Amino acid sequence: MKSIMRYFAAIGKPATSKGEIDIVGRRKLWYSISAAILSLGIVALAVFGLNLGIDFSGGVVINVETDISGQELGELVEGAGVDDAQIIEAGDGGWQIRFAEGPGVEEALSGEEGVTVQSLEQVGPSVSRDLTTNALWSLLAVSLAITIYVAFVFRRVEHPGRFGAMAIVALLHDALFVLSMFAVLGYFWGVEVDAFIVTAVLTVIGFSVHDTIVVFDRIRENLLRKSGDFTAVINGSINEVMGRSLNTSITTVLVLLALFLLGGSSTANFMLALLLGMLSGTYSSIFIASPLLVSWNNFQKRRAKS
Amino acid sequence: MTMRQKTRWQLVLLGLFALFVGVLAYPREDQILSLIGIEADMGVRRGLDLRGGVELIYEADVPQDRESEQVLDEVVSVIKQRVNPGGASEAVVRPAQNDRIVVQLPDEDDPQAVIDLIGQTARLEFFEVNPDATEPDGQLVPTDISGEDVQRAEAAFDQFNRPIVNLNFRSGESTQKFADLSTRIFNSGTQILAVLDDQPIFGPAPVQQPILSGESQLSGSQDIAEAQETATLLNAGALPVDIDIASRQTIGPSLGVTALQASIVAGIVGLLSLVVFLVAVYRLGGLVGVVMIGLYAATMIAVFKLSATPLFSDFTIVLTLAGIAGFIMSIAVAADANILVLERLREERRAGLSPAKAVEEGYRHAWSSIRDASIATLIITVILYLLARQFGELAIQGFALVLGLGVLTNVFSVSFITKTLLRGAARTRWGEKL
Repeated sequence: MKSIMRYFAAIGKPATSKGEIDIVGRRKLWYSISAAILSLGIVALAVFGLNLGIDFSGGVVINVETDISGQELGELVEGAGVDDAQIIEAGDGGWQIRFAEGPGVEEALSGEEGVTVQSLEQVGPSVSRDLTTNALWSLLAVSLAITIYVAFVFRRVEHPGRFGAMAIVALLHDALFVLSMFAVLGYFWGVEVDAFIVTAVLTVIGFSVHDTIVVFDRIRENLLRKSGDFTAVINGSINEVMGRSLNTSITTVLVLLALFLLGGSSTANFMLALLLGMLSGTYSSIFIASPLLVSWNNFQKRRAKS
Repeated sequence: MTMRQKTRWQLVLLGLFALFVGVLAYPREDQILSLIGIEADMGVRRGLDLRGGVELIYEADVPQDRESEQVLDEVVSVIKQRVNPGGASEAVVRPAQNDRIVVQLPDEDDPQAVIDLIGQTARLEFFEVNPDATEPDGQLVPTDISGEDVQRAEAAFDQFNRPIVNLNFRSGESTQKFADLSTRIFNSGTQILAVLDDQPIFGPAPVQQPILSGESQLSGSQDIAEAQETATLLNAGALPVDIDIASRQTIGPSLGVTALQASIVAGIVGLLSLVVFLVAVYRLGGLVGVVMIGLYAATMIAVFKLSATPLFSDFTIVLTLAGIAGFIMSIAVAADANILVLERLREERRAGLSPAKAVEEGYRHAWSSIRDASIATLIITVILYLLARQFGELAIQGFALVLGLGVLTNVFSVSFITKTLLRGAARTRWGEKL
């Protein structure tokens, strides 16, 4: 833990005699880092797009285990009347067959000697359309509920709405980060976005808010207790909770990392999304959400003066 | 009562609680329970992706002039009757958003057979039952009347306000056949039995008088709900509307077992690293955290097992792969809560408070963060759960349910287990190390 603290001490300059790290003072640096990563992410999303799985696009995915060759599998599938199937090797005699539509394929495969159909997933176009709408509604509903809740929780400090708004900024920051990473992963490594990833993004939102609330909670306590410069109170609060924010993230990352590396292929992408979101969430709560409160405060003060 | 005495009682209570959840969570809990005379074989209900099975999502073609909810309910009871006639299996059939019906059949490996079964017309048969017959063949005599002969069945009340099912037979031959049958049964004093897809749905019961009009009443329903169900099933000679498959999924049993094993191994490795980290950073406090996390996990497993017993059959938690992910993540949340308390405790200790005082103050200050963050996570899980439920996304629903339940259990664990253990630890001779 100490080495991490030293690391942060090295990149920040002490702001006070107490040896605090000046996070807020360097806020423009943090904003720039986030802005750079997120704008690259938006470009990736716009250019590559997301590699949508059949949950979104509809179609059929069949996983088989077999000792026959991929070419023979292809002939079998073609024999069942599907000529645009993708046949991907999954290792250990496992193959994945993907196509848009073809009712006879499964029977043709399971009827063949030495081929075992392990799983089949078929998603019709109407179901896939719904998932997209559902995902967008969930994001909207969650964002709205959290803003209202955070504003309510912080009602005793000045401008509670700002706390709610900044929780949302952090939340969108993290959701956007995860999605843009998946655009990159999808483009270069063929990683797909499915219903699981939607769940992951919504969970990331939960983590993000969790982290942000831990920092804001300390800010609230100090704002109500101490008098003094707003900037100094915020920076002090961040310093006070940074250790535990890092520790809580480390424990979560340890668990997620184990699940990602050892938990099997069916949940690996889900865990990856959570990991990425977790890292982003810790960063955004310390380096984005709280410094933005200062920026907003200063902006208001300047406007009041002029 | 002094604080010391209070803490002692809480520790005793905690010990009893730990014993309770420990026994329930133990994989061979039936052996321990049988020692105190309870025969129970409990297990966690596993979802399709962990045990293999078939999931089908149908889309019903609801006509404009009928209420969607009612039509879906009819379709659901027809499908239920066909895939799970005795109600004994763990099959799930339920309506979802946009006129859909979700059908889940654990352990089933032939989707085509299920699709055929659901698509077929239900078979309604009438039998003549003669309880006095000596030969087995004579007791149950098949008749030539079938579901094809019934035009419509309706639940109603008779003049004595008893629930009944009104049967309308098709005019002509069907009415004649039923008239002949009822006359014969009435005269011979035998009984009538209606069987739907090999399941008795009415009778055996005597016939009060010969029925010549083609309108019959089946009495003997317990209440109007049962009469309604019987009527629905009788009308279910065919599905009330056309249904199409919107999506389907088959998971082989071996795939599920592999996934389960991988998750368990990963969970254990993740937990161990968590334990090492907590003890390395927080020492005695970390140890308290580890005990709390262990008890938390045991509590959750006990809840899963209890929810799978017949007593809580309406609230059974079905653990899917996503649910296990949610469970393991909720353990990370539990670790978070402990860290928040322990960090605050350290702060109070640095400010010069005694261990016992620092525990109270540290807990009191950490509580607001834990409460606010937990409520925020709960809000999200509730939204996720409700939306996933509406859209029939069972994996997401399972994830949200387990995570939400985990957050609630966690609030309890941190405010009872962590607090009591820390109070206890502060009063031992190692207390200074907190």
